[in-house]
Amino acid sequence: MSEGKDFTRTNIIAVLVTRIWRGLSSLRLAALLLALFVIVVLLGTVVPQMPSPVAGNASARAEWLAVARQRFGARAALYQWLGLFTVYRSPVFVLVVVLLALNTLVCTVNRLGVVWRGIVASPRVIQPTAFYTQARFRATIPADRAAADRVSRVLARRRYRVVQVVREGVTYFYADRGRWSHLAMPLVHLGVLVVVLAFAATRWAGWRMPDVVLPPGQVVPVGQGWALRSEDFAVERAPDGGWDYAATIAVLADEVEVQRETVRVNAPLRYGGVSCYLTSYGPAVRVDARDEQVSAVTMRVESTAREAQGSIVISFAGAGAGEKLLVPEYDLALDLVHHAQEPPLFVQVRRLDDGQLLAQGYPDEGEKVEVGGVRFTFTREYYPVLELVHDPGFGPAVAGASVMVMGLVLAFFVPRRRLWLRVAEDEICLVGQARRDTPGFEEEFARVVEALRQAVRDNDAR
Amino acid sequence: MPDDWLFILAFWGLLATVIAYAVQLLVYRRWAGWLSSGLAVAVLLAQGGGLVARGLRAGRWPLTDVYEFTLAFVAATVLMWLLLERWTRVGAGGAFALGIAFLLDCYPLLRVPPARRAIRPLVPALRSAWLPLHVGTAALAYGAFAVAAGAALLLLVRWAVERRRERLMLPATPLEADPWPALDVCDAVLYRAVVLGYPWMSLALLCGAVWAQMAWGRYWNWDIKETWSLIIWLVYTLFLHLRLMRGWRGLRLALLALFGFGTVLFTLWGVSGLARAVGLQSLHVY
Repeated sequence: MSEGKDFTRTNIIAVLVTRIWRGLSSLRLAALLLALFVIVVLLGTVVPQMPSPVAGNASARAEWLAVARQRFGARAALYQWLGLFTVYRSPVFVLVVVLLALNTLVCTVNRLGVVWRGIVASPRVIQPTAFYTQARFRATIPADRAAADRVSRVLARRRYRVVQVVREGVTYFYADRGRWSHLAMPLVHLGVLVVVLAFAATRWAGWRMPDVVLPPGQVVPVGQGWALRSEDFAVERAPDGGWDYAATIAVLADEVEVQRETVRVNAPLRYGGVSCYLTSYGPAVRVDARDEQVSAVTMRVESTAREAQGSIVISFAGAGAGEKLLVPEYDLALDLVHHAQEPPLFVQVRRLDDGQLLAQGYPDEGEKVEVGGVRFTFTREYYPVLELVHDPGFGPAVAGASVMVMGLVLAFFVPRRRLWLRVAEDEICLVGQARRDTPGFEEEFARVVEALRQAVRDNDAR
Repeated sequence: MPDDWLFILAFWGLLATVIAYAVQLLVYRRWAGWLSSGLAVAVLLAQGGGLVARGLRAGRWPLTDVYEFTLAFVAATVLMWLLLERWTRVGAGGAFALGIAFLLDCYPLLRVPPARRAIRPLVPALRSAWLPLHVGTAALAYGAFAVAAGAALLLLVRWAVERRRERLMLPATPLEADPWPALDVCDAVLYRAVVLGYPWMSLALLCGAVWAQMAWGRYWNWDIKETWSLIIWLVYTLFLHLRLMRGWRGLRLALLALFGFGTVLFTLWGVSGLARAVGLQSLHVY
């Protein structure tokens, strides 16, 4: 009894697996999934999408959803429940992608045998008579047996691989071209699968560190045991009259400079599997301070307690942002505020102990201001803002897409053509087959027939 | 400017070419075929020459805004049509394909104000060797899909004519006297047009992804423009898969090809408006 039960269970599982396999390999399913994918992807362009950093931060997420509720009213809850604010991370999206990948994989595996046979298997050269009388592309050319030699040459000249068999006085030919096009669809599908896996690798193993501010000359640790230092930042005119931005960045590993490169938009710095992109820049000011003997004066930034002698660079988060600079030796405090107007820097100098205002104003670029026994010079500078990215999926994605494009070229522009010829006593019977592109093959077949006729005529003329 | 004159010349030449192809469709004479193809080559030379002249004047590839891209799109449509005509030896779709090209050309020449045609400095992100590769391949793909839409229109008209003939029980025109290709030929022309465009579209997505990685550190960002480019690719992927299924040739695929071309036009002209309406930000807006 138990054996019978096992047998039945095994049978059911086998049937189930077969059905699932067949279902997954179906072209109808592929079409359905593609249509579904179009709809899902399209939804992401008609409903605002929550940015990834917002989705990963509870308070930012709540804030974003509150704005969405204001905009969509009661529909917002429905959109949220349906995952429409995060379409590209929603379970439906993931399910469609996974099913498409499975469908692609199963289709490819199913076709591998046919592909292999199509490339390496010996062709069937001798075909029955019915084959020559029922094929769609067929022709008969009056010729004698001696034409067999010419047939081979004509086909080879047209870049066909020719296999010849002689049996009972009849010469049979098989000729084909573009048999590597069998590989086309597996290559395309393989490329698609690699791209899907690359996307997964980017999502699960990639990371990015946005808004890495590099105040000039300062060493900014970025983790991984290394740090960055901005050596220079230039806003330049490009040859076409537009602006160009260039940041010279030094990479320090264990406090030793290991790389120095100029980073521009479209030209990131790469180090240790991490790419550093120039995303924006911010305003900064260099303050030089000398006493009456032209000796360097010590200054300290109040917010960071950073200290420097003679010269210090202060960066601002943007327009309206300010910093306090202390000169304890001379009992001075400078309030520096950056504005969007020209000149952009507003300075107030106070006495440190009682806060008495000593001077204020908008110093011009490079202008020297003497207050409380110290001569200050203010020079405009900029600092770069970088984004650090580690993306293990990029390389495989490019490789996958390249393989896919190669497969497409092979599929569409290297057609598979097959010919069978039988050279008997008084005629050449010719049959042709093409896997795709039937109209194109019609022309090719006509050309082959014409070339054979010509060859036979030339032979007769001799 | 010489480029402007060349674009105007190409515009009127295109109109003449469409008329020549229409005449070819009606009278089915060999001279009409030569004339229309010759005119199409002349239009391609004028439009291509205009693009080269503008590129030389700007000192960069003339593919950086919608004005320039549409001009390149028109040139690509004419080029793809000529390739398809040579490949299929069917000239009947020319009136439709180049008719679409003519309508496309109305946008840069009649709708874009002169101030917006001026050559402007590029934003840093556009100063890249990937610009001609990504935008050029996209223009070629769009051109082929415009030609596919023309072939789809040819198929639809042919289908409507046959339906009418069947309904009225009129005798069929002898094949050799019929200037309109048979339905299966129209279907083959449509398929080949899509085949011409699909690899270019795939390549455009690939080049765009590499460029995006170079510029922004993200090879795919689900940016609205990227997403609509993917939608174009998916629609034509669907086209190629459906064609392998029984009962999906002819009329249905022609309608899908027209829908696909609709997605192309929307990606070119509609996406910015959609982004504004929905409140989506796009890295592709300069």
